Amino acid sequence: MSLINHIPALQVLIPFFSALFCALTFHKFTSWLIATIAIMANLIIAFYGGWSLENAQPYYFGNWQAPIGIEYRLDYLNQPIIVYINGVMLFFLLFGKELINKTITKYIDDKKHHMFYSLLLFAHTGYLGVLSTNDLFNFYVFIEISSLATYVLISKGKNPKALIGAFDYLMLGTIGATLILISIGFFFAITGSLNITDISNILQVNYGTNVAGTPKLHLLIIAIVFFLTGAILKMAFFPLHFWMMRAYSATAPFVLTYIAAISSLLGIYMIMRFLYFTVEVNLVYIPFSLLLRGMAIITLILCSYLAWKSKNIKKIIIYSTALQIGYAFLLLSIWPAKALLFQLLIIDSINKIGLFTLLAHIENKTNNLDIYLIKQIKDSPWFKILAAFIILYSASLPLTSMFIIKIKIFELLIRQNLLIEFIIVIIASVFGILYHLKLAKAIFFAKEENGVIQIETNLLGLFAIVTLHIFTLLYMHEIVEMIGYHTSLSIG
Amino acid sequence: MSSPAPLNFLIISTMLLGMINLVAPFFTKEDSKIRSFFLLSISIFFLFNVIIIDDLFINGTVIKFTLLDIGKYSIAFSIEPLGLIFLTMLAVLWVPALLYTIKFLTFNHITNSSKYLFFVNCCILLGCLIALSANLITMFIVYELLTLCTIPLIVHHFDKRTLAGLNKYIKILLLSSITLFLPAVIVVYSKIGTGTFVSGGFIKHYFSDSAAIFLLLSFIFGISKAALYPLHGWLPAAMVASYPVSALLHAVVVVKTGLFCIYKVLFYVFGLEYLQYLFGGYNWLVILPSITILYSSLQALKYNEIKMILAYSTINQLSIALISAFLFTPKGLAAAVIHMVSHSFSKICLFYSAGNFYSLDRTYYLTDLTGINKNMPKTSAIFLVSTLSLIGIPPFAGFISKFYVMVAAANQQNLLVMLVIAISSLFSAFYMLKILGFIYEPVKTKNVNNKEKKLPLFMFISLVLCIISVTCFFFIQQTINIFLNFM
Repeated sequence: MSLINHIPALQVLIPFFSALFCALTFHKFTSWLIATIAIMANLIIAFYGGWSLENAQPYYFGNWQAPIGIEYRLDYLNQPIIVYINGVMLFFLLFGKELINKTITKYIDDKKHHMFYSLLLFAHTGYLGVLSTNDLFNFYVFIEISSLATYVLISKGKNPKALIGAFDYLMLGTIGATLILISIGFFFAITGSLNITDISNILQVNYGTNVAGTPKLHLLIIAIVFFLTGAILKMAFFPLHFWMMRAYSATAPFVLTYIAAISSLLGIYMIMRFLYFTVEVNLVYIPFSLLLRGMAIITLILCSYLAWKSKNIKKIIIYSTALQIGYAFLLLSIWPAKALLFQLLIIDSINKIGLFTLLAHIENKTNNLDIYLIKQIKDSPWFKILAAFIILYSASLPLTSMFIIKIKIFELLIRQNLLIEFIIVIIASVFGILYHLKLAKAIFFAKEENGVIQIETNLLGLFAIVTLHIFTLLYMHEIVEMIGYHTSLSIG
Repeated sequence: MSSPAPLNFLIISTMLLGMINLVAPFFTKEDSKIRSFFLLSISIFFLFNVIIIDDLFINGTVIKFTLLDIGKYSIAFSIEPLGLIFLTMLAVLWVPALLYTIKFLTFNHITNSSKYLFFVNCCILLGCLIALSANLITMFIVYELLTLCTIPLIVHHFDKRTLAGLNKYIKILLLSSITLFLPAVIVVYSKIGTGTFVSGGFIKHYFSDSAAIFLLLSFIFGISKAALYPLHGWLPAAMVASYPVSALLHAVVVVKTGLFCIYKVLFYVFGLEYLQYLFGGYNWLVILPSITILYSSLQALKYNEIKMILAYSTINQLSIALISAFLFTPKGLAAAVIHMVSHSFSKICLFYSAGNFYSLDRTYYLTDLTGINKNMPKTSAIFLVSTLSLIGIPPFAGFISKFYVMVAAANQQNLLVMLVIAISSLFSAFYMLKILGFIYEPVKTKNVNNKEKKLPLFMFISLVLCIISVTCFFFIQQTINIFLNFM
């Protein structure tokens, strides 16, 4: 058995062990180097894994077969995301080295810089594990690994309030994880198995044909509700979004390029994996999709309104992060929208990376991010041009990938005869334009009386994002075709 | 329907040729002869190319090609009579616009002129792309890009006032297109599956009558560049920009793009026959521009800022074009097209001569103009002629186009339209003569120094070119009619 067959395990274990190595180096640059090399290797492996992927590919740890042992399973749903988040991490490490030094590690004790990279890799391991595993308990373990690392990552930054925000996140994240754990317990009680495929089969046999009158259905619904509540709490979806506001608005924006970009993607993945693979969808689809849709509508209106109303550019961007989860949930509640959903999530995550990087560049120079008091940015023509592009892309104006996705969303809603949602999405886009306008005003047309700053940090990261945007615009269709979401998700 | 490759190549090469003008400012020195020569010669070549395209079209060539295909939404271009009229108009006006703008920039010491010229050229090229667009989504995308490209021009010299103006400008234009125009486009695409313009319309059997009217209204208000009443506010707000930009926004590209898009939607999406059927009972749609006309006339009387008067007069004239198009007859549409062109020439003359006044005397308000004809007799004369044309005095451009509109309305026996146009002429006579009154007010100042000589020759040539078009509009109108016969 050659090493290639172990790709599913390798792509989780490489960051894990390099995290341990990082912790042992006690040296800033070495740990950065280890992290970068590990992620680069991981990206190549993930690419290779995705390329050689044939349908769903199970991997058994220690060759212990499914219901007993831990199983990893790579398919067209998770392998592309694994490639993507490795790419994000690589971007973060390569292009963000200067910003990491200036905005994050500057506020950490000199002797503990290496721990930052170590924690980053632990969080990454957690995310990759959540994506790869096909075992519910393992799933929970990885959620905890990533969360624990993230709590610490978020607590660092210029603003001392970051610690309080991280504490909030810690409390609610733990509660969320507990709810998920309870739900997993219920599933174990109902089916006697922890393997997702296995559970799905058992549920189908027991509940597949006659839904009404099965005594355990109540238990099942309770389990689902627990899971959804936990997941929604963890991903800060609308009614439970308040921790995110507090945690994100005080932390260093650059670390959010990694965390914010990935966590919403991952949250949606968790719910999808759960709803469509664990539970037989038809059983619970209609009531839950109605619930999700209602919540999505409220999120769309409320978050876009709040984003427009907020007076701090960081808050605007964070609300816009929350807003996109609303779009994602709206699509999640519509059955034939799965390919579109992932396009939306990926493009939006790229947008958020761009916005948070932009913010990191600015926050490096000034403390005050209030839109009326922000300092004027002067003599940085390249920064301004790149910023203009990034805001345009995020505002989903024509000739951007987001615009194409918006059009597809509109069209989907019309085809499904969802008129209320159609109008709501229009209103949300109006607010979207308005808050982007506010953002643009703060960045380009700040008053000179507030003082003047100059952006001197290197702009390669922003440049990379803009290039990536143009690339996705031109080849999005081909990429989606190539990944094969269309075929796999219609089955899944 | 595919045409041989060389002809597609002609359009692409024409656009590429125009694009040279985008980069040219960055490689040449400010106010150098090379820059002027370069920019102008390219715009003249561009004009020649456009004339060749016109000629090919008249001889029956069909050009149609797709640039980018995203499912059923494709970015495609084609040539058709309406578009060619618009394209030719832009190409013709590009030459005087460049002549004027280059010199205006140096004369008024406006810094960063490369950027300025880049965006001016960009706007005109985007206007050309709209003229060539073959389907709704292409039109929408370019329309939005045009909005974005005008932003740097408006805030080129930015202070608090510009910022407030810009804010209003962006909000009205972007929001109306996102809330009304885009949904309308998507509804058409998702119901019918295509948005390619077809002569005579293509949506006839897909919507119920009321839904079709609703769709039409969302197009008309969504395309807010045409400045219909509740959504007209961006136009006066954009007046904070400098004169060449105002001319560009209000006379050449932006407002005319709005009009042109509406014509295209009326003619190629709905089709005049279907519209006549929809508004068979009583054509209440003409009330919308009528309200705009009355409102803007009253507003124009109120102001004593030169630019504001010109802005409201633009709104007024745009609505005259719209009212004629809303008659839904071929004659009405033809009159609307002719009015669009005639107004372009008259307005650009007015703006450029006002720009001349401003360059020498920093005139903002009417009172600043008092007796200016002593110092600048030629510019004042040009201002006089274009004012007469705007009011509709024969034999100038405005008269010819208003005549057509009147004839179209009379054919329909639509008294309301005739009345409204008469009233609008009366009002425009009032407020335009007010300006003339100040210009020609006799003053006894001893220091009559002919300052006009200081003005660069180019600015003057540009004005003369425009005023010749205004006076000889009869011939231009005949050329337009050749194209209109193809519709």
